[in-house]
Amino acid sequence: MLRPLFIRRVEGHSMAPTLKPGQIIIASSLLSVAVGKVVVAHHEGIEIVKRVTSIEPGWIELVGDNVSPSHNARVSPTSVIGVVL
Amino acid sequence: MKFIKIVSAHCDLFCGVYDPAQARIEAQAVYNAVHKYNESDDEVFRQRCVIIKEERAQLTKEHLWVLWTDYFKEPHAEKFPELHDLFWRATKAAGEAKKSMHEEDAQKLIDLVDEVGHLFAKTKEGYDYEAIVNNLK
Repeated sequence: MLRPLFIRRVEGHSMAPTLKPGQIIIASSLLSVAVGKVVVAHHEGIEIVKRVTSIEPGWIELVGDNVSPSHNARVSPTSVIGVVL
Repeated sequence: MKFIKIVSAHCDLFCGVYDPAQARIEAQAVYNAVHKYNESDDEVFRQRCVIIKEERAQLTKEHLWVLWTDYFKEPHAEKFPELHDLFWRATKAAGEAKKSMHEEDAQKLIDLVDEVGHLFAKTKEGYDYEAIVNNLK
């Protein structure tokens, strides 16, 4: 069940400098996903936090802000569980 | 702060391609090499079986290491508490298979790789590990 608001602790460096390891974030399932938004999504059995770079029919492209070590992730629209506030 | 769920912002290689099929194919090759060794009276052929079996057992171990250390992450280990022990046993079994010419040791390696494969399938929507196993029958 999607929660209107939920908190998570960031692990890893792929969203630096926007989000740093250990940082607490608040996300909401009530906000609309849009290009440029940072979202929390299910991907390969875990939750990831990345920025939306493209919204295509049937999938959404996510990438970390720390572009050099980060890799893109393609997720289905239903995999996105919240937009970071 | 431990009650707050983790969200992953981990870095990774660009290829991002992980599949237990690689380990399963090599483990099957180990088994087949052992089986052919035990069926043959040709010493030269048997020597080749030993060499190939040792190479393939090492490759099995390396493919398992990549899954263990690169694909699976801390949230996976929290979700599947048996993960680390399973990989430890599977990689140890690959080491045992290098030393052994007994089919039961090769089968044990296959069984443990299959456990890894089924666990991997739980993390990847739509991934069909049974199809890999069936293709090798």
